[in-house]
Amino acid sequence: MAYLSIGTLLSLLGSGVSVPAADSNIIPIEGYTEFLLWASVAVAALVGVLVIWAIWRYRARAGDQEYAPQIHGNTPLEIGWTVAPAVLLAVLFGLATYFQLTSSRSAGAGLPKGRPPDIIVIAHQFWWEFRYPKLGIVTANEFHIPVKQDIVVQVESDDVIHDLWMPALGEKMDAVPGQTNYEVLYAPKPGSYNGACAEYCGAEHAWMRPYAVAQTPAEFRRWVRHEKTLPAKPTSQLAKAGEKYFMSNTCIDCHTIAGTKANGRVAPDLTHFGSRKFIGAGVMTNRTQNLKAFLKDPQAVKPGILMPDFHLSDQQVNELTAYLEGLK
Amino acid sequence: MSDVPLIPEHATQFPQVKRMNALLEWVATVDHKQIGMMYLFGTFFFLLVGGVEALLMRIQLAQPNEHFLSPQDYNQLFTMHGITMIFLVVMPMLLGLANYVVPLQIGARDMAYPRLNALSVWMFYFGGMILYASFLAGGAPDAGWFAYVPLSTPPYTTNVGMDYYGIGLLVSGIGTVATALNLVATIFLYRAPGMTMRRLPLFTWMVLFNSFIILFAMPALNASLVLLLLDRMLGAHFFDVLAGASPLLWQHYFWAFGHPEVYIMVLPAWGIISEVVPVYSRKPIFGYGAVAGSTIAIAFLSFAVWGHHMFTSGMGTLSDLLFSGASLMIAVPTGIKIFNWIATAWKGKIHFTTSMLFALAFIVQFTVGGVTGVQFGIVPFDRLTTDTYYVVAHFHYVLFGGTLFGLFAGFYYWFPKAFGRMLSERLGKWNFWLMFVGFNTAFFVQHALGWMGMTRRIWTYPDYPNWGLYNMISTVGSFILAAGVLLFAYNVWHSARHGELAGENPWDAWTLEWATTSPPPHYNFDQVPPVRSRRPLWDLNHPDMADKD
Repeated sequence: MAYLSIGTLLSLLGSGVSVPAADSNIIPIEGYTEFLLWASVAVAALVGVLVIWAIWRYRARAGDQEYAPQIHGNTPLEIGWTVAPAVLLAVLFGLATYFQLTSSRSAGAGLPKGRPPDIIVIAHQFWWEFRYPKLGIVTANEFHIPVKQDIVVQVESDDVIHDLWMPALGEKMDAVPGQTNYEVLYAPKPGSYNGACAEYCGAEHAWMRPYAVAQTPAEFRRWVRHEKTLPAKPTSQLAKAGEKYFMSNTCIDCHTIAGTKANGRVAPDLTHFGSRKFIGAGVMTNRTQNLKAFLKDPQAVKPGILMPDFHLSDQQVNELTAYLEGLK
Repeated sequence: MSDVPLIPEHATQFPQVKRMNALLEWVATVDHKQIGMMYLFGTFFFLLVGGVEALLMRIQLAQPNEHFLSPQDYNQLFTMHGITMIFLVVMPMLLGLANYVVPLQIGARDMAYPRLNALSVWMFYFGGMILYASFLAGGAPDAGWFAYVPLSTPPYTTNVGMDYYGIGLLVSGIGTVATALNLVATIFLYRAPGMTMRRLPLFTWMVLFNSFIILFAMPALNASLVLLLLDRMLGAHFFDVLAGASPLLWQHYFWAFGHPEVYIMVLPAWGIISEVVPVYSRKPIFGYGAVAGSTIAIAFLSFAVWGHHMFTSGMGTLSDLLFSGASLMIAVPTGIKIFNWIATAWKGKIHFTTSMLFALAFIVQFTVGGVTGVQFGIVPFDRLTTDTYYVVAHFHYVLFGGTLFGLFAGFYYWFPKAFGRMLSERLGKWNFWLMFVGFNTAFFVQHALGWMGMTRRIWTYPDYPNWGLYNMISTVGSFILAAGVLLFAYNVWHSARHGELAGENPWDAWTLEWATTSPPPHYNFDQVPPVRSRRPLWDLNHPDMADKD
């Protein structure tokens, strides 16, 4: 039923809302949300119809200089259109409050159900750090969750205010420095879900896109095992040269690669970089040509990113690309 | 046809630039009509500036992964667009109109404090100039009009723009407070004999309560700006997270001003609608008491709802619910107004002047913005849709589809009074339909974009299904809208010279400003007609149907 309504309406407009596609980034319409939208459409439509009716019915014909009956008001009628909206609003308030207080997926300042968080998200300018305290794994920008489970996410910030939002998976919550907030993500079915930073955070607010993969419990366990293993050591000459360059330069002060001396936390963890779908928090897909362009001049690809242009030679770019792509 | 015009040619009211000393007369004036005009022309100029900023953004957003603007440019543009439209267009434009109309509507000779009035308008100009000087000083403000800390403080800001934001808004803000004070004093002290508070024209009534909101809300902003400037320039620690401050403190300070500000930007527009709809329906306002009384309720409630801007900040459940309840309550007095306006037109004899078209479009568009506003008052719903294009659509329906359409209704209504000539109705119809079609094309699709997950304040976006298409539609709409606004400028320029002569009361309206010549003499009235009801000129012109009061 839920999708037979505003969803249909929006899909008529061409948005395709009714069928959440792969890489969904659309807010689902269900429960009180649907009621609220219909009530709103009804009120706006009522006003629209009344205005259009009045325009049509009471228009002055050309040359008509007569006066209308001088009516100054009608108290019962006015009480009516005071009380009726008040009742509607009270119902809306009651419904939403009931939902907010009883739903296990309500976001807020307090830890839901007193559960320890499944994921701690730390927002940075302009990327996301995902830490799984119970599983002991760390990843950046891309994270995985099991389907059909409430995932409690603790949201923090390392610099300015950000906001973690996965439109198809739940409510959004600000990442406020010096404060912890919580939100709950729920993936109804396996698939990939796009997200965004929803609080303006500076130059590259646009390219701070988290990406979630929802998996069956078995697949999720396999992913966790994979994340816990160290990435393969480079074998090719090119990749080895890339590793040497990475480890002997300032890269290691900002990035972490597990099992190496690179342990910076200012920039995204690159431990399994090769298995991620995107570069630069969504700015490009993770392909060889894109990665080379990124390394050649990050500021050209993602202007305002905190990674400076290191003026690498083409040879150095090729080496680093080979090394990073092998980190799976 | 006789060659003798029925309406005598009027004397020119405003100092013409051609004349010697004309510029000095503008600079030195303390006349409320001239000051009102200075406000209106200055704000219209800034409307064009803010409009160009918006069009640049719309070009950048017309398609995914566009590089027409850099993110740094885009962020300065959206920040300056917001600041400009709020502080240099909508609010002072309403104050300018109030400056021109209110003394005339209450039968006064001028504002209570003419020199303070002149100071106010110059503070507005200086504030605007300081803000825009930031472009020359190395970069405009780029932390949003809301200037959330810590993004608005070092080390996260890299240019001096936010200092210009603080100082510029402080300067224009002081001018705004002075004008509000002036309007309150004028309305309380200088009403014509017989004009009791209960006979106040509704525009003046709304301006009065608007001024009270300004008096209580603007100081909150001004004080917060001082704290922000101290943090930025002298290294104070009011908002320093590392020193133990909470970033939410600024948000509370800012929105304690920021939400009343939303009502500051809409109350006088409600006043315009409450004047225009009755006159062109040939009927008195339906339920004067309810329209006036609901304004008082809104003025009070407007101070209790700011938290609905912070539902995702983690204030705590109790705060969330209290602010949510108060926010929903404000929809009741707002709904009363909408229904009373419709009831005013009901059984009327509706004359479709351009002014009336703008007013009718206001009612519908403001309602659309109003119902989405109610949605944002609901905590869990807000957490789905806030900071998306759903919000952008919402507040443009309130502030553009609402307030600016209301202002245009007011311009077409009062222009004949100020210039002695009618605005061209033919151009006016084009003006209206371009703006109506352009506005709805530009902003309606943004509801869907928000629902499809597009967040605000992003300089570009990935090529998700339909995002490019909808954004392109929005961009096309914004250019149609811009054409409508430019046509209005041409209409003013043309009609001020060649328009049909207006005479004292071209609309057969009934408030006192129509009882003097168009344009009014420097001293406003030779003689103020007796005020025995809410519609003094109606009583005079239609004694058989006079109001009983």
